[in-house]
Amino acid sequence: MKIKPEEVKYIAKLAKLNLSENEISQYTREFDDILEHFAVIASYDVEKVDVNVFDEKQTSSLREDDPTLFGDQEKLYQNTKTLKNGLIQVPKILE
Amino acid sequence: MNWETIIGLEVHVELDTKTKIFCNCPTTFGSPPNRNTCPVCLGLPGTLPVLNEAVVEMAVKAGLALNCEIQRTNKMDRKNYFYPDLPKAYQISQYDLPICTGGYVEIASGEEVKRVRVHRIHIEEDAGKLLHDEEDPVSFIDYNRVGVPLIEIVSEADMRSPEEAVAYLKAVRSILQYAGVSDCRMEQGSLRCDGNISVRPYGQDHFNAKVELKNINSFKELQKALEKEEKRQLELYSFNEGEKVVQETRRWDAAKGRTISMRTKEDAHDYRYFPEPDLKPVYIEEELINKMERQLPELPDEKSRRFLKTYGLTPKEVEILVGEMALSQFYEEVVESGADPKASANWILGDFLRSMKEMELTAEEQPLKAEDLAKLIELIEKGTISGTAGREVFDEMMETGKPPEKIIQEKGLKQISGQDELQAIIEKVIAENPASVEDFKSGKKQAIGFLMGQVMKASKGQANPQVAKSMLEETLID
Repeated sequence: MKIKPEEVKYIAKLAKLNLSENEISQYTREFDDILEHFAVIASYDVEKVDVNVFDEKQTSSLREDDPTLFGDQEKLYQNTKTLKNGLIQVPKILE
Repeated sequence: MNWETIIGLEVHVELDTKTKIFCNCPTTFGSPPNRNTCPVCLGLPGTLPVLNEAVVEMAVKAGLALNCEIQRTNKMDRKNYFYPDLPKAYQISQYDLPICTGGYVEIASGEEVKRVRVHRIHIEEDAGKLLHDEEDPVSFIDYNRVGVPLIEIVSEADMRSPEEAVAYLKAVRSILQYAGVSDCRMEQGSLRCDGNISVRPYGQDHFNAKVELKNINSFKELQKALEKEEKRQLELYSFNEGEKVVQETRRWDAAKGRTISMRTKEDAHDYRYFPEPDLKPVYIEEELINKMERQLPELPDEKSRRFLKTYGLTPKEVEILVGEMALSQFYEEVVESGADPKASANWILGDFLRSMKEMELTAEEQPLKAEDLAKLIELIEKGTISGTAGREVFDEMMETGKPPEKIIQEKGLKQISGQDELQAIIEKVIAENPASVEDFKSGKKQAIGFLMGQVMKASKGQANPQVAKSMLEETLID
């Protein structure tokens, strides 16, 4: 086993997920399978491969810096429970 | 035991682009809440980010201005964390291949020039703003700032005192203002700064636990927050409670003047960085680097040297003028309008800055025209108005923006330098004060002070004092 149930619990905590004991053992198994699968990659020697292997064709196309307002606030915030003066109201957030 | 303070700064700067980093939403400050948002920056399902070319250009420009190496190939990464100011629950940032690495900034440290190294600069998106209700147990979210482009400039831990940290931040701010990549307004949050600070005994090689300070909004607060934290750590170590200095994030509370622990700082891997799958790597053409290099204007260091050489100012004067780009531009405009360089500096660094402070204006908002200030300086030098009247005219100029000649005319502040006019006043004063004239003639030279006072009074303060005094003396001796 490459992964322990404690690690799954920790990741669940970071992701704000409540997992049952059953789910934890299930994910532990599945994570392990995934890692097992990807371990194949680790067996390749990439020592001599430059990180700068990208060229222009493989890189991001960029966008012109030209503003447009989306405009339809109503549609955009239709799922928002409470809007107050345009602000989204949520339960008190403590630091 | 002698202690050494170690400081490094992380400076976040909002780039002065028209649109956000990954969508077309405008970046205007002060828009109605949530107006500048769209499905992309709100992270709604099915949307994809597209990088803004101006962000790449400005980040390259900032890197060049801060003497960095531009990484021709760099990439975006996901930094995962849950907080309501981040609608996607991850921030698109750069992790292991940032856009710029290894620069430096020169600061004055005592008499010496010190180099503070820049570790890296990366591009990322800003988060939204949370507002907390004072009375009700609710908070409010404004996502206008989400996706506003930022560069984060990470220094090496090269600073050894709060003063050096402030000098570094001031230098970075003015360099970026000159480079035209940001307005760097701390009061609007377009320049923000976190400080990392630790202390160690002199001679110790390794660093002790460092504390990260957040929520610092001005140079003054940076100085205070670092001093306070430095003191807190030194006290703990000196009372053998060094173990209480732990790696953590502390929030600076400006009102209370102290730092408060926020949470034990998570290790970097807790953010579970991974390459951003929605964006391909960023590749920077040599052509773009050259273009940005050509676009860089005269930077503060160069300008300081030129000011020292050309205008005969003191280093302190140059430091203040050049520190604020708008101020240095205004100064040069005044000088180019024909005013004496030294007198211009005196006015700008004296009455002008005082008045701006009183009126709570920034250098960009000031109401004065350069040629008007140049004219005022000329009128005082020619003796058309007195220095005192000059101040009055200046205050009125700041208030109304009217040209000086107009104010002088309206207020009747013109000095009387004309021989005939002055002579008439002097004769009248002599005729009305025979006793003082007698005193003067019998050797009491101080009597002339009283007579001068009478001349100034009779002229309603408009007599040119130098001219009037010499004429009065001549008349009395005759």
